[in-house]
Amino acid sequence: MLTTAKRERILGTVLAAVFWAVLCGPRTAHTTEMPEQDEVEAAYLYRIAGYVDWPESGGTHRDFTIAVMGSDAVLHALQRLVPNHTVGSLPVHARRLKKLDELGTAQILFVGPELSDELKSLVSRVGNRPVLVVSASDHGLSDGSCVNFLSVDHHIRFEVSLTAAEHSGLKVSSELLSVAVRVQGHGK
Amino acid sequence: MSLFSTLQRRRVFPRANSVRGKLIGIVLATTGLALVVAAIAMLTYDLSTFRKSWIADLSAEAQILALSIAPAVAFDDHDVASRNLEAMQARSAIRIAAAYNLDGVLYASYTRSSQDPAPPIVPMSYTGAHVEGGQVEFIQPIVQNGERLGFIYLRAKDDVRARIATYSGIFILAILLGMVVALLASVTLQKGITEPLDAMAKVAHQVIDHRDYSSRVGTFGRDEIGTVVAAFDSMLDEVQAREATLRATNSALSSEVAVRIAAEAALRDADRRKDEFLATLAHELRNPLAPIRHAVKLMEVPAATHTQKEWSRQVISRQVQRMALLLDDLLDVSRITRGRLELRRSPVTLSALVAAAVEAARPLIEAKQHSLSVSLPEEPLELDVDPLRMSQALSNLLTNAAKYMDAGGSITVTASLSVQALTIMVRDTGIGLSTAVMPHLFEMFSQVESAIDRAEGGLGIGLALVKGLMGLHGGSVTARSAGLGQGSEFELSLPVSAVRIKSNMTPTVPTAHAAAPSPRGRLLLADDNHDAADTMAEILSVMGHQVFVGHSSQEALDLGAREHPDAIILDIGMPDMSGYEAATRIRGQSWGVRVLLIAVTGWGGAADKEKARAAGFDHHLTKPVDPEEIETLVTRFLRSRAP
Repeated sequence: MLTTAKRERILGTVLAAVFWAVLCGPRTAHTTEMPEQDEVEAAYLYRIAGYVDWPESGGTHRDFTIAVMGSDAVLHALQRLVPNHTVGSLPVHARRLKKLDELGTAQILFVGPELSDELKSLVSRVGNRPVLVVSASDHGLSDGSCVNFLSVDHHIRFEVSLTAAEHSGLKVSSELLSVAVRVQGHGK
Repeated sequence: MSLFSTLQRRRVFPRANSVRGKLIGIVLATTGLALVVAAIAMLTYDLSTFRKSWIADLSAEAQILALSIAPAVAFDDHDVASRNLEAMQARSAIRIAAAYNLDGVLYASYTRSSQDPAPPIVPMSYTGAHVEGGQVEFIQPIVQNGERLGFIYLRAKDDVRARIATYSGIFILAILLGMVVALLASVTLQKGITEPLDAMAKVAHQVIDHRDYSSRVGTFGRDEIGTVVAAFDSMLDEVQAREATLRATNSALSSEVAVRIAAEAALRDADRRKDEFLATLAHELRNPLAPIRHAVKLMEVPAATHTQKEWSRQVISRQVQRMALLLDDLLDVSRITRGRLELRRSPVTLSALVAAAVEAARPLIEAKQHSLSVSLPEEPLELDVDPLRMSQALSNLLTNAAKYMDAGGSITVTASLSVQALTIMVRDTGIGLSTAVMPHLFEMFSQVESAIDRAEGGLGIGLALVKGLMGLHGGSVTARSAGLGQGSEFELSLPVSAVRIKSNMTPTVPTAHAAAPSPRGRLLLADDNHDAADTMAEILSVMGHQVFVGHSSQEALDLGAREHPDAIILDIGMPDMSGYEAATRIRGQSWGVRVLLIAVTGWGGAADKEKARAAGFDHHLTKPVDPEEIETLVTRFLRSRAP
């Protein structure tokens, strides 16, 4: 038997939930779908840098470079985003890479979907240099990239390969791993 | 009976109205108050610091949450963000946690229970803490790598009431404990105050209950209580001293009262003795009247023989003499009492004095067949006294001795001269004196009561008279007795200044029967009372004088002019001319210049005597006149005139 007070409280809660759904539901859906996929990926590229430690290289780095191959859209998005941004104390630059040889001292290499097929050879050519290879392919991790973007339920997610990171001498923060869809290597 | 009252009676807990109780009350009240104030201050401070630290904790919590949720927000992972927020479940104070993206859109939220309100749709415009109605809201930005990603919203319940309750419990316990400690400490420390007070109260009780002012509190230091105790003690000193004085005064007063009561009793006694005296006097005066009346009746009987008439005459004479002696004594005592008796000092030898006194008392001594022995110093002593009065005193003692002694007793008279005084002792073997009568022996109207019924009677003024006479002479009289039936001793004492040792002396004592036959004189007797004049004339004639009798002043003048007598005895109260005038006239005659003039009156006052002296009288006699007295005066006059 419910008392009048309890009944009213339950009714209030139900009403609040309905109200909440009506007011917030459409706006939330709208804002998550608003950014272009490229822009999200560009933002993620930059943000991922905050959760990865590169080995010391004798203070030779004067800036933080994100090299982009095979996706001009992402490159342009990055170039709009990064001015006045830093990783650690280093200013961030985004640069297009036509050939892998131009990699230089870049810390992150993004291989866009257009070059997914070359991913595996690119990774092998990077070798064990401390470069975080990020891909957007259906089989990115198996091709040897460290972070691979996926689309899950219309959301951009990513998976991480610790094996690849270790191969490159990079340390990936557990915080990053906590939001990854999948973590490969060293068992999660 | 309750436990408390039992403990109270055993003085574990003092009575509330005692000083101890009050002191403990003060200590408990002040301690309790101080502790409460301290507790409130501490509580206030603690609450404020608690709130600050609590907000600081909340801030740290928000920062950690912001850090941990940052990747989820950064990579747009709602599930992870929700899980991160759910971690707040471990912090019971936090009711709501929510994350918003940079555009202010709710990203994920956690609500502890359904009773908590939903998180706000849009976060507040501020960052940091905001306290409102026991709730704290906290906004913390989510920053990753210098990039602001969104906001954390925390809402926590500021549970001050529970904290106050907890603290109050602790403080109440602490206050109670503090008061118990203070109570124990004060019980020990207050002894310095209560002990002197208790001691003082004890002494005060003693004073109030027992009127005992002798106990003291003692010394108790130099503080205020010590001063009060000292003042109390000195006050007791004062009270004690005053009480002693009061007591002394009271006893002095009561002894004074006793003296007054004794004096009153003495007065009453004197009054009683006076009444007795009056009764005795009446009795004594009346006693001689019966034999006189009988004698007169006998003489009036025509058939009475000469012998019977002679016997009657002797009876009358004896009784009259007795009455006269009685009245003389009475008058003398009265004069001494009023200071009107004057001594006529003239040189007289001791032996003559004693002889005169013995002579006066002899009839009674012989009548009772007492033996008498007299012992005087060998050297002849001359005294400067009133011979008549001294022998009167001595003869009084002799008469008493004879009177208060059964027949056949013995009387001893012993005179002795010492450096200070001449003493004459009269000792008898009579009824003696009890110690009870000793103090009043020499007072007027006192008579030894056991002696009242004796045949001799008496007024009880003899010894008073002796004392008065000796006093006039500067001497004294004392009495001694070993008790009733043991006889008595009376001692006359005269100062040596009144005594002279004389080498060759001639007896000049007026002892009536001691000397050779008296020179016979020619006497003129004037009295308008024929009987008195005639009887006196008869007696004087018997004594060997030639007597002329007149019954008026004029007759006396005529007879005097014709007969030229040696002495004239005048009654003052004669009808034709007063005795005073007659005397003046007689002195005016050639034959009357050197004649011996004797006044006879019924008035024995000093004024009368002075009046008589002024009129020219040589002597003044009070009625009834003893013929012996006239005989003495005349004999002395004739001797002095003799070549």
